[in-house]
Amino acid sequence: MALEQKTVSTFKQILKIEGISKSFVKDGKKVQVLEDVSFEAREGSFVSIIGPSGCGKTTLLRIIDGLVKPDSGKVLFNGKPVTSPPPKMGFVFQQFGLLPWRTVRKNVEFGLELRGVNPEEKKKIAEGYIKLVGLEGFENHYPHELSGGMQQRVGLARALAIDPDVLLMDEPFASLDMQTRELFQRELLKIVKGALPKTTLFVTHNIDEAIYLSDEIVLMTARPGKVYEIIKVDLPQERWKEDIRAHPEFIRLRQKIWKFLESQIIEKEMGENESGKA
Amino acid sequence: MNLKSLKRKWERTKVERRNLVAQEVIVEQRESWIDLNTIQAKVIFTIVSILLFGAIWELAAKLINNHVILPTPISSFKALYLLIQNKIPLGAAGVGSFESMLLQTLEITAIGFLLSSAVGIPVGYLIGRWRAAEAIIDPWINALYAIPMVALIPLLYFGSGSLIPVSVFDYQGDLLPDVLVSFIMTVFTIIINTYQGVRLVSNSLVEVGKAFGASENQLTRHVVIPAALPDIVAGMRLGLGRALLGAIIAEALLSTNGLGYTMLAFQSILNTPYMVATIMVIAFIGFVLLQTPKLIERRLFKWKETERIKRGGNE
Repeated sequence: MALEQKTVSTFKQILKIEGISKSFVKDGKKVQVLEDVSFEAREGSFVSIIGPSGCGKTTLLRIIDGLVKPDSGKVLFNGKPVTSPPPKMGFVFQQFGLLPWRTVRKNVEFGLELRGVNPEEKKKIAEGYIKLVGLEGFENHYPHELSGGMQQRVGLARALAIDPDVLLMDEPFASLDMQTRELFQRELLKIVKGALPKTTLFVTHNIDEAIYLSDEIVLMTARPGKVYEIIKVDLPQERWKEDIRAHPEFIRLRQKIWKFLESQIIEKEMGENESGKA
Repeated sequence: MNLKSLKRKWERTKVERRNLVAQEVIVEQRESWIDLNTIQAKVIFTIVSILLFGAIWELAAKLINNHVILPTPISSFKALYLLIQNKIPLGAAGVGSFESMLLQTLEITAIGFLLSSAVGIPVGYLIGRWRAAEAIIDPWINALYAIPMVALIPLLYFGSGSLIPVSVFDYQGDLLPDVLVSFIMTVFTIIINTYQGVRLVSNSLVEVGKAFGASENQLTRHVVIPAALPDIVAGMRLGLGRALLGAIIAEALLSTNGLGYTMLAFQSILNTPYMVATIMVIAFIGFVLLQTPKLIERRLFKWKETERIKRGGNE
């Protein structure tokens, strides 16, 4: 155990987010969404970004993937600045983002197809990942024939199929029911912390989910989103092996994070009421 | 626990896991008062509809009792039979053989339609995807779509011979005005449908393409076109009907052959049964032209199944 902890902590930094700020213009008014956001991710670590809704978590993730340009600041991936989606980053979307005219296999092959992988190899790779996420036998189904949970399995397989170093996940389980969600969390950990080690950035607004999955939690304030605290989750690795949710440290962290988020939400609502009166 | 029992346990949980996944598949069931799933049931409904129409027609013809205003179905079908046999009544000036009129109408329709697709789909794509193209082209499309195309026909008739070299089209030059009428009648429908389809492609799908590193060309090929395809094909299906309509109108006004011309020739000698017979031929072509793509669409867009509106009975 001690040895494993040590190897994790000596991994190099793979992602560095430096002073990201972003604003949008909405109804002629400038809205500051992110303000001077900085944090780092070590290789192989699982980092969650949590904050009240509207704090710019999703925008931050899209900036990290190079889909949106920040007003200032930069993202360094293996030391190089990100300007467009890097080939070694995989993205899992909140609403799954599957292409409805493609079957499960064709969806998983999507990234490989864009990279010009030859058909036999493409098929072989896709089948491997379909098996990994437990969708064997559903290769020729269309997305509309699958439940939400199964669709997101396809989304995960598609992101893994391009063999990314970093996996970006934008509230991937938000639209799943509680049971599917917990099952999926466990399977995800088994993959990214076991079978296929990946650095994972995970956006969520679910506190339990963040603690259960993460090595580190980036706690963000309400809009404009700033990093309030980076919390190290000091729980054993291979968390799927025990009922980690009953661990005293888990409960302590949950209370701590909830207290902060509660204050943020109340502050935000008070602020809205104030501006409503004025 | 020995290795054997461990293995057995693993196998068992594998099955359980599979079942768990299988349970998640949504099974959709529809209910209906009559089983319309069978082709037989659909055919019966269609036959009843045709017989009912025939009965009303017969009744109306009997009431009016005037062959020139409304011939009976039987005399119309008789005229249809004679028309197909190339037995044309005396006095119908310049009406060609049945094959030649059919062929000409189909030729104008086909070329008008293909030309419209070749022009309409790229133009619709451009204005759907790029705001600048939309600003430049869209006002013209709206204005042209609104004016009655028939008004342009004399313009085409006098202009086409000198404006466009006849050799552009590898067949008789005197059909060129007809093809242009068919084209103008069709192209806007195809442009507007393609434009709508492309414009309404969900931005999140485009973002998915970008996240996986798609170039602009790849976005077009792998995301935008497939997503817009149901609308594009629907536009083409409507376009087929418009192309036929354009061909008929052009023939009636510009040509000396074809179903459109024949229809008017019979009308001018007050031979209404023959005129109705010609209309029946046109209606039959229209029916075939609009039904065939429907079958193709159903096969092509299986992935859209659940997005269809639920109706009594089934597809």
